[in-house]
Amino acid sequence: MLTHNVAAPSSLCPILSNDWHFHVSDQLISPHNLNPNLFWRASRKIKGCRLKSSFWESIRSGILKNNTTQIVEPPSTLEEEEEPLPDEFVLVEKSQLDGEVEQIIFSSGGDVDVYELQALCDKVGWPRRPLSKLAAALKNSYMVAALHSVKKLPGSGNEQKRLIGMARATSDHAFNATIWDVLVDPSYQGQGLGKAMVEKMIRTLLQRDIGNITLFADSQVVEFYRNLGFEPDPEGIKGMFWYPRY
Amino acid sequence: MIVVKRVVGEMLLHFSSLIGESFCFASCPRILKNNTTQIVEPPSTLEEEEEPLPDEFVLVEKSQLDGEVEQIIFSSGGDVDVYELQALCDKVGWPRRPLSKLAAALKNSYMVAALHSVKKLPGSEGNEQKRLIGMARATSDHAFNATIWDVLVDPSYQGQGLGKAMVEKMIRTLLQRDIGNITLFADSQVVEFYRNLGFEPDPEGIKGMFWYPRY
Repeated sequence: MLTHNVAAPSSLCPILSNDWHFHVSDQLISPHNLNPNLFWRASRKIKGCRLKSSFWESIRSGILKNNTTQIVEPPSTLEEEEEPLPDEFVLVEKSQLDGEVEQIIFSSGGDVDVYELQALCDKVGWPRRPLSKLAAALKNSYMVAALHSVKKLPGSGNEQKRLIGMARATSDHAFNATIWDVLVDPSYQGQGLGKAMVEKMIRTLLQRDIGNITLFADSQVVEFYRNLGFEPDPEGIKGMFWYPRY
Repeated sequence: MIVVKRVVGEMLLHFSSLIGESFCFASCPRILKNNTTQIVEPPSTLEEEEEPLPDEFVLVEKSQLDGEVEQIIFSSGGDVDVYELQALCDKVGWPRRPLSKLAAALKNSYMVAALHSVKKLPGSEGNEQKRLIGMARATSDHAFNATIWDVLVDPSYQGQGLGKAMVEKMIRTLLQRDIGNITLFADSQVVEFYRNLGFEPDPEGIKGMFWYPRY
């Protein structure tokens, strides 16, 4: 039987020590769930945004689906001044009966090993790209977010750390960002980790005052991104590619 | 009578979708339309090994009867004055953006292309009037992808194929640097403009998406 903890990054949700407890972090303010006056006031003060409650519902239901868990703390309410996201924090923690603990750690510091990334791209079935170009792409991305799985057996001090997800964004550091290459290890898909990773990226970009966040979504993942707040072709704006090679 | 000289010889090349081959400067007929012009240098033919585009070169040169010469110069070296850019954005009617952010955007773009008009009266002791009349920039990861943003041309200079030339040069430069995925987001009224440059909307159903766009 597995128990799950979700450790929330914000200081608003203290991490409880009891294995049974489950925390949901802040809620995203979307323009649709605020009254207009509140939105304008909030949009000037708020450095970052929080997730729509439906997003956290979907994460929760994914993690809770097969487990006996309890939600101890209700989602926190609207906060005017939000603290910046730390560069690295624990998203999920799982304890097994034999004592092994696995943490899924989110980081936005760009600590991605290019060989691990190549292996991950292979695992999800992407066509091979030259290692040197992969390295250049990581180096020249404005933000590189990663998910690592860290497994420890208590009393062993040994830990096994593996890259299980990545996403990156290019940007002009002022107005626009474009998210590329979002991937999660197939063994870890379906748990809301990809959603969490992209949500954190968005939050970080907004905190850096980059207001236009874009991406190009394959047709089968348009819904995935819609659920994160993305809209295709707003006001008829079309994403275009120069002589795309199929 | 105005004589227009096409000074850059190798601009007219055959359009091809493959990297390494050159493509057509589609708008050149347009410059001829209303003027008595001469093309002084014939377009060079298809070359297998293409020389890298110089950072700066003359796109168009016009001579007036009074002797004034105006050159339109393309540059990709990023030499854009932020105050001139702000004035140009005002001129095309774009909403104002903070100067500091404009400067940061220019600094952190992978490529900044510009069009300048340089007017000289011969014998005027080399006095010349240089004005920014167009700009386009691209962000990139320097390896796979580039996205073109903020393409603008001074309304007084529109309709001459200058915007097309500018974007075409950017594409060529990006391809020469082996950046194969060139993208952009086009307002509905300019989708055709970019289609004519070789861009395709929603290939294989890929959708451009924006996070909570503000209208």
